[in-house]
Amino acid sequence: MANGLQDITEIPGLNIAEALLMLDQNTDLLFKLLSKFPANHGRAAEQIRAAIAEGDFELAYRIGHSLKSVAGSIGAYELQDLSGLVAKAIREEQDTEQLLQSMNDAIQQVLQSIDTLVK
Amino acid sequence: MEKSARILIVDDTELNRDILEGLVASLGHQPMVVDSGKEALMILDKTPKPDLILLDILMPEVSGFDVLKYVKNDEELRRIPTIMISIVDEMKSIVRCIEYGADDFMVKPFNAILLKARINACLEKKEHEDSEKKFNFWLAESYQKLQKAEQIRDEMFNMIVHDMNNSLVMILGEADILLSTLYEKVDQSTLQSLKNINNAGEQIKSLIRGIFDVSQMEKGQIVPKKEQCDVLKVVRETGEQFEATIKRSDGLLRIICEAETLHHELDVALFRRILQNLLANVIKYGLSAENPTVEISVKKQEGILRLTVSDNGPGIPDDQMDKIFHKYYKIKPENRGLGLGLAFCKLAAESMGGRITGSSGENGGAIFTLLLP
Repeated sequence: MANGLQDITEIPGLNIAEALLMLDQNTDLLFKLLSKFPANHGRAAEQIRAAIAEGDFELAYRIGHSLKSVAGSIGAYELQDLSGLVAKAIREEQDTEQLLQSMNDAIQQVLQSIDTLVK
Repeated sequence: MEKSARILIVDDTELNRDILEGLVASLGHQPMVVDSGKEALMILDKTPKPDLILLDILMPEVSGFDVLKYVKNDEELRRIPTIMISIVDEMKSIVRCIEYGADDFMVKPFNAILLKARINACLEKKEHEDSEKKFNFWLAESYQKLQKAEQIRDEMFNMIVHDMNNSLVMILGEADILLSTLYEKVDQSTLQSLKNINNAGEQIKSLIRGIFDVSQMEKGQIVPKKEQCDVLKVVRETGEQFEATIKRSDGLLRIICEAETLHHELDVALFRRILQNLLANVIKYGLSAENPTVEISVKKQEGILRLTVSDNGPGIPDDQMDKIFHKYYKIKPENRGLGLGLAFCKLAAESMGGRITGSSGENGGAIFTLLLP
């Protein structure tokens, strides 16, 4: 399946070349991950807020933790860092709201970029 | 890794499962994918078992650590290599898993090249361990079979020897009766024939006795009875039994001892038999063509009795010095006897807490040294 991912040089919030390097140039796999990302992780900030509101900090942490690993795999390095900071703040019981906003901004940018890549 | 392995992938994040599944499939292996620790335990209870487990640590309910504990506490499952998966921030839990027996770990996000290397290394290690285990099993089994065969052989052998001995006792008894009843009634050559029968029978008897002795020694059926005795007296008496034979070959038997008497606590019968065996060997193999000399020297040093029997015969090749004490070993296949004499000496010496060694003399010849505490 030719999906053109190998030709992408620059797109905001995603380092496609780096992601392909990590996935051993498996463009099909990266395409699949990008396609699934919006449904699986697009609402991460909202979900974390809801979990915190319900006092389920374990779940909140896990959502941040999952996002961090997935973001790293698709080359969304800024999002990877921010979700890592969110997870860390939850674990250390610190205020997360500001970090969550930054994280959500990063998610929105990744979603936009994915939207142009995965049609 | 040529053959395709079954790899169990356990991760609660769908995209991570997708990555692992994709990478594992691209390596030519068969991914078995589950999304929770609970599912993993269910799969692990079924057969066929996976060849490798890729296990995420942080999962709700049954965590990766819980699954790892289950795997490593199970006799069968523990051999399945398990690679733990986590993010770098969770280094503490990774260390805990490695301490619990995890074979390796991977940090997310995954690096395909690294994952491939780790999967292959773990699979190769497992394959190696599996074949080693098979080999060890085969080895243990073969050893058992061999021991069993040896046991059967020994039992058969002893049975045959025992039956032979019964017949031999009859032959010797009958020959004896014939000798005494016909003594004055038959001519010399008939008498000589009867004596020859007797002598040949006696020879077989001593061979059979050697077999019985070694077999009983090995089974621990002979327990030494130690008593105080004059060792020198026993040596002289035993020497006398052999002196005539040595003299017939124009040889000389010398007994060397600095004292008049030499007292020591030992099993007299066993000691005598050791010396008899050593002297019988000298007569069979150790008498040189010119001026054969046999020396028995006995002394006591720091409570240890030291008996040496030496000759000036052809001696024993250095490379055979260890083997001569083995059962049924003969320096030359054509040698008379069964090769049990020295095996008996060794067992008897050891049963009394001592030892016996062989060496070569400065001018050739063999020296046997018996040390008894």
